[in-house]
Parts: sequence; structure tokens; C-alpha cells
Amino acid sequence: MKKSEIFEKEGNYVEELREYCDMQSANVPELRTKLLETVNHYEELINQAQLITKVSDRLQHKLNNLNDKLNVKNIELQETIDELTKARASRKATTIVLVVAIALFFFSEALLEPYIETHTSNFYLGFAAKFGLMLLLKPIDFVIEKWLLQDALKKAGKTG
Amino acid sequence: MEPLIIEPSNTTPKVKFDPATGVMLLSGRSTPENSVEFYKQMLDWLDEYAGRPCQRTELNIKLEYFNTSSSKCLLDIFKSFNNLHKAGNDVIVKWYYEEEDEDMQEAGEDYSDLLNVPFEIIEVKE
Repeated sequence: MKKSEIFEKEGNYVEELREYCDMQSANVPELRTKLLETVNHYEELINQAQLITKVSDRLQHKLNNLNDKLNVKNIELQETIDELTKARASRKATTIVLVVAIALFFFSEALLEPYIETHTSNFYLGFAAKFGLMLLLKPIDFVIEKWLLQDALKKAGKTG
Repeated sequence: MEPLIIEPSNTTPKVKFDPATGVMLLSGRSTPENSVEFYKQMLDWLDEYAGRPCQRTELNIKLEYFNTSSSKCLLDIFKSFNNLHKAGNDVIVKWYYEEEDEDMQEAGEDYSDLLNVPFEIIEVKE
């Protein structure tokens, strides 16, 4: 039997008993004493095994509860990370759209409007063109935000 | 006799057995790879202490978690206290558990049912 076994003492007793049983000289009263001793040991072993099983079950229960709590916290954390990623993507998209809007403004003022003024005399056409460009901003914002979000999720998937 | 002091680690509890005051503490987490080896030093120390015990001996258990083999080793420690108590010494085991930690509370109750040592189960507010 290995020295560091958990039931070392009990194991040693079994060995001792086995050796005793091999003895030819054991008489009946001695056997009775040894048997009683064995019954006591056995009873104690049962008590110990019952206690250890009970305590072990309780600790397993505690571990399961902690695991459940950890899972809930993990879900909450993932939701927060997703919201944060979305907010970051939205902010980036807004900045890009602002740059696009400035570019479109210069495009309309420098190229589009002079072109319309030289080729047509309709005042509303230039106005409508600018309005059309303005309406384009929202879909551009939507597309950029979606693209940035997908990119961020893809990156998160690679690192996670 | 020298006090037994073992600093805690990720898998072993803090141990502070003081022979001068008779106050002993076991706190933290107990999941050592080899529980028997870890607890042997405590059992040996207690054997020596039993030769010249204090008027009153107090064992404070403040464990958060322990594995199955530690539960058997704890039982062996309690048995040492049982023997000390049987020899006519004033002995008390105080089992602390955190508020709402019913599993640890019931584990303490399981131990106290099996032992004949004065056993106090104390709730600690978080």
C-alpha cells in the first residue's frame, strides 16, 4: 500500500487483519476480540465514507452554483462588450460620414452647382441635387456602421 | 514547542497553530494535489501538542472550499481534537461560514454530527 493514500490507516488495519487470519494459533476468544475490533473499525469507516460523500456532494453543489453564477456574469459581460463595440462602430461611422458630408459639400459647391447653373436655368434643380446628396448621408452612415461592426466582430472572433 | 505557520497558496489554506495560546486557525481554500502530505504536518504537530496542551484549545476553521481528500484529512484533525477532549481538556471547534453559504454551513453540521467535540457553527456577514 502506498504511504500517502487517503485511507492509509484503514488499509493498514486490513493488512493486519489478513495476517491475523493466516495465523494458525488464533483461538476463539482472541478471534472474538479481533472480530469486535473489526466491526468497530468497519462501522467507523462507514461513518467516514458517509460523511465524506455528503460533504463532497455539498461542495459539488456549491461549485455548480458558482459555475451558474459565472455563466450569468459571462453573458452579461458579452452583452456589454457587444454594446460597446456597437457604440464604437457607430461613433467611427459618424466621423466618416461627417468627412463624406464635407467632401460632398465641396463637390456640390465647386462642381455640381456651377455645372447646373451653366447648363440649366432651373433654380430648383440645384436645390434638388443638394437635397438628394443630403439624403444619401443616412444610407452611407448605415452601410459604414454595419461594415465596421462586422469587421470588429470578425476581429473579436479571431482574438477570442 | 514551535508554532506551525503555513502561508496560503492557490490550493492550500493558511495554517496558524499557536501552542502558547492554544488558538489554531485554518482558513482559505484547500484543494492540494496531495492532501495527506499537506495535512500530515498538522497531524504530527497536533500529536506533539497533545503531550502538553493549553488549558483551552480552540480550532477556528474558515474554509471557503475544500476537496474530497481534504474532507477526510479534516476529519482526522477533528479526531485529534476528539482525543484531546476525551483526555479531559477544554476543546472547542469553531466552524465559520459566509452568509448564505448553506453548503458550507451544512458541511459543518455534518462534521459536528459525527464528532463528540464542542462544535460551534458561526455565520460571518459579508
